[in-house]
Amino acid sequence: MIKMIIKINDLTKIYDKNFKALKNINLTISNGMFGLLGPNGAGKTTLMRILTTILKPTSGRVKIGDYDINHNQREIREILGYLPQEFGLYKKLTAREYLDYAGVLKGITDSKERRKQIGILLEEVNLEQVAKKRISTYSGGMKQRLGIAQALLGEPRLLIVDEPTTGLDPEERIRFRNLLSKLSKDRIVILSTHIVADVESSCNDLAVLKEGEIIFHGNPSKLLTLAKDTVWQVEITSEVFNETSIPGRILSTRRTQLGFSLRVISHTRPTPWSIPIEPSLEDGYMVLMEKGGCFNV
Amino acid sequence: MYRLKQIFHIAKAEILIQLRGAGFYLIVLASNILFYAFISSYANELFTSFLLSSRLQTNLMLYPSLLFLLLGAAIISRDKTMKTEEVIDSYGWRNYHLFLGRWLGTLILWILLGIQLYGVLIVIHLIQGLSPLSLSNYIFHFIAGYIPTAIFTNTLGFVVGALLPSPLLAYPILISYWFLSIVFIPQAGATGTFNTLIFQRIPESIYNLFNYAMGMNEVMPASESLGYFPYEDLIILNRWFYIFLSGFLFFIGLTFYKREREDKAWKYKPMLLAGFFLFGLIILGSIYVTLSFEPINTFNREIERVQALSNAKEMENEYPLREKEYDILIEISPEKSLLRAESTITLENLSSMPQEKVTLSLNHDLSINNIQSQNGEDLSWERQGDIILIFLKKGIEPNQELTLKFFYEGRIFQWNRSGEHFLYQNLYPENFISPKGIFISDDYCWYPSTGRIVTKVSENLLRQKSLDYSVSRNNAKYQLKIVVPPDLKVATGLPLIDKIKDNDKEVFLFSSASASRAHILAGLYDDIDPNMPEIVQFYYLPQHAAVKDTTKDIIEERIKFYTWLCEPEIKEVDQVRYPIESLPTGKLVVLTSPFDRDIPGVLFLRESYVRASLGPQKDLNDWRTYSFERALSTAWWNFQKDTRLSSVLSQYFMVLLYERINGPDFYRGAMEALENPSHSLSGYGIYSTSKQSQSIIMSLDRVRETEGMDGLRRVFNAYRASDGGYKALAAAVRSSLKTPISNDIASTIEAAESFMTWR
Repeated sequence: MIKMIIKINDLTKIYDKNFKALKNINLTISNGMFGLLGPNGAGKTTLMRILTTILKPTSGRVKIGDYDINHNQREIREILGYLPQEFGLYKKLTAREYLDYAGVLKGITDSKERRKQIGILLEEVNLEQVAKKRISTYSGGMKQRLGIAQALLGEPRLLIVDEPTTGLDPEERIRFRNLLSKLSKDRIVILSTHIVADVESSCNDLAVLKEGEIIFHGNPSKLLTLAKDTVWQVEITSEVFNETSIPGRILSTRRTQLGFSLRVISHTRPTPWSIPIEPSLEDGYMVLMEKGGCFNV
Repeated sequence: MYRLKQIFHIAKAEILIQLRGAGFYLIVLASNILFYAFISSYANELFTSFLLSSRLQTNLMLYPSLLFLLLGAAIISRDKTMKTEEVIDSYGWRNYHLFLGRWLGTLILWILLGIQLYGVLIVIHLIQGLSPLSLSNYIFHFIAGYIPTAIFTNTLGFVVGALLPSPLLAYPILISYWFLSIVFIPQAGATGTFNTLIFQRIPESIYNLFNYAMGMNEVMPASESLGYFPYEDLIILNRWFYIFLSGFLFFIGLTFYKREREDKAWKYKPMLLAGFFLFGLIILGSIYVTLSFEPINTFNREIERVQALSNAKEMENEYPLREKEYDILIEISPEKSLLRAESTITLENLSSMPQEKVTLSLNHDLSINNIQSQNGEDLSWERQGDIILIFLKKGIEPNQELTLKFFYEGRIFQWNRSGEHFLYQNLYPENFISPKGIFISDDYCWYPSTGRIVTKVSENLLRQKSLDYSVSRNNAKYQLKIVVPPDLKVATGLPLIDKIKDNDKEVFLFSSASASRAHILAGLYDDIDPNMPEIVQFYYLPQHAAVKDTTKDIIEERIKFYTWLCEPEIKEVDQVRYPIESLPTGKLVVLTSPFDRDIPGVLFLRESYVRASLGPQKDLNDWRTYSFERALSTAWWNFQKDTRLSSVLSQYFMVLLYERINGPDFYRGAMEALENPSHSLSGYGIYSTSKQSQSIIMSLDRVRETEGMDGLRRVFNAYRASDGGYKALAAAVRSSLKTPISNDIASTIEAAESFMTWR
């Protein structure tokens, strides 16, 4: 498949009442899986919606391959697959009927071709066995997989998935991540999420959005390095835990036989008995989020 | 091609989605409930089928149309409410793909629904098996009546849904529109069968009443009555308006629907402005056209009353007795505005139960002096208002008869307080009673009858039904004598049978069997539009016979012609003279049909009212003339077994008449138009476009061609002497041919014969 690049230059989106959802975003995304991390309200969904042409930017320029988002909306929609964060399905239809309808709307008017694609996708998302059942009988994970199947109809060159693993159980989540990784081999997959673990295992490139701005763009290992020498394990008794304030940010608290085992981010050793440990991507993300605080990057 | 394919695919998918949802089935259910409710309500299958066909013309679509509107709005805006919008919007379709595709899919469903409903009607028609199925009428009505309604309501729902995707906004607007449209015209009444703004058709009216009457008399199958769908003049304009309106609404919806998805949405701005201007014109035009039909809507209330009435069985229980023989002698005393009457009534118990009491009705202004049994024995009775309860010393067993004698008197003025008489008596009292003249109302009010005193035409119609059955079974005969002082002028609406000399007084004999029909006529016009009072007055109100001299001449000419052609039994007929003061002294003027048969005028008057535009232009610019003329001609040809045939004959009759007035070219033109499909029949007074009707007229023309007017007279008189019907007419045509006929004439007559005998 031809390599495609998304170039975002000075992209700004201002909603009513002068609320700036995106502030001069500059980003380049190429084939593979791209993670878009950020807390709720950071502007991820706004960015996704602009990329999917559903929303128009206030200013700035976005080019998806050769297509400009302001002038080639229809062309972009034709190469696009999109799974929004919240989406509904026609629950009275079966998966196959629904995909058929989606295929028609996507412009696959050749019914043979449509049937073929639907068959492959149902197999790919592991819904083939229940394809004739009404969607109303599906679990959340099955609906999510059907959602990805509709997004993949028409073999899009750009797949955008917004918070796809929210509400899924761990098994479904892993399966979903793997599926996205597989799909990213020959297309751009933009995975927007606030769950760092989703990105950790599958993305080769990621950006972090905070309050409408890109505060990080790079590969996961680069994000990881932000947390180098700042993550500590602190063993502490219950009495001390109750009475003492631990410097830094506690990421997790686990109960042990002696008291508690804490995972703490801090540029300095929080307690004399703290042990430095290997940081995870989530640690890097947390360090990034604390930018401007005591953990300035 | 690709886009077209996509639209059809979307339509197909939409149909699937709807078939999986509850909305469509709700509409199917609502339509069918409205439809089938009548089947269980009426024991008479034929009557039911008539009601069903009227449903098609009327409020069959009343509730479904609301659902059409709401569902249309829901469909086009459902992606927002179902949260499928974001996904769907990311696809590559163009706005018109989705809008048109969904609109088309839904419309197809409505059409399928219509096919189902019409299918039910056809099946009922076939089950009743009384006449051949006139499928073309159903198809015509479906195309002209149902489909435009479905298009309009569907489009309106979609457009409102597109402009206002929130159901909280769209639904109230649509419901309000629907509600306002059905009560838009005050005459429609609160239940709102006026629905032109939604249903884009003439509201139920004369045609329905016509259907009811036909149905009850068992003269016309449902499918034929559908052929009377009034689809002419302003109605056509009205429907064109709505087609344009639908198209424009569609354009608006399409333009505004998800316009943020399209880069070029606002390039239509100038077109939109122009469109809005057009929209305003269309709305105004539609309202104008709608209001133009207001007079006809006044009949809606009558229809509702008919519908509200119960079935024939209950009717029989309510009216167990019928008048078998009636003999009334009335003496009029104009000085005191009094009449003194002596009525002998023979009643028959039609019910399965013995009757211990007899309930009769007589206007309460007439006080009863005495009621006697057949042997002169006084009977006890009670009275409350118009109702008289008579206690019999010996009850009447089922199928037994009882003769009662009534002596009563009272004012002859203001008997019918609710109707036309009351109104006009107050407006023009001098024309109803004066020292010189008197007008006698011709309804039930002034003689005791088994029915309640009803002023509602619909109730009378139902009552008429039972009377008709009785008449056909037992051939009951009513006699009415009015004794008129020699110096008094009297006008009435009853047909005159004969007049006799009774000592020094002239006695006029009437066929009172037609009184009920005359009353229907009166009742009908009780509520009629003020724009057409003259037609009422023509029959009832002398002072309003402000007809032009030419019109009078035409009428007189016609009467002479009828008399010459048909050799009526009537001995003397006084021509219409107005006002009452100018009536010849000591004579009674018959203002209705001068012939001896019943007056079917109510049916045909209504028909002619609507169809006046089809009449010959020279004489029918004044539709009153036409109505009167129609009534006369159909009165002559009236035959209760088949009014349709009577109508065909009367049409030919009119052509003959107009030939006398307009010259032979008129007749020839009419016949050529009949034989040549490319010629218009409009203007010749022939509106029956079925092959059957035309073939009959052509066969009569061939008789005339071969045998001259004498031949025609033989046909008419032979037919009148028969029991009537198509076969009788065929036989009359055949027997009238005295001279050898050419092959061409023979084939025409044979063709007509085959139609007639098939029937």
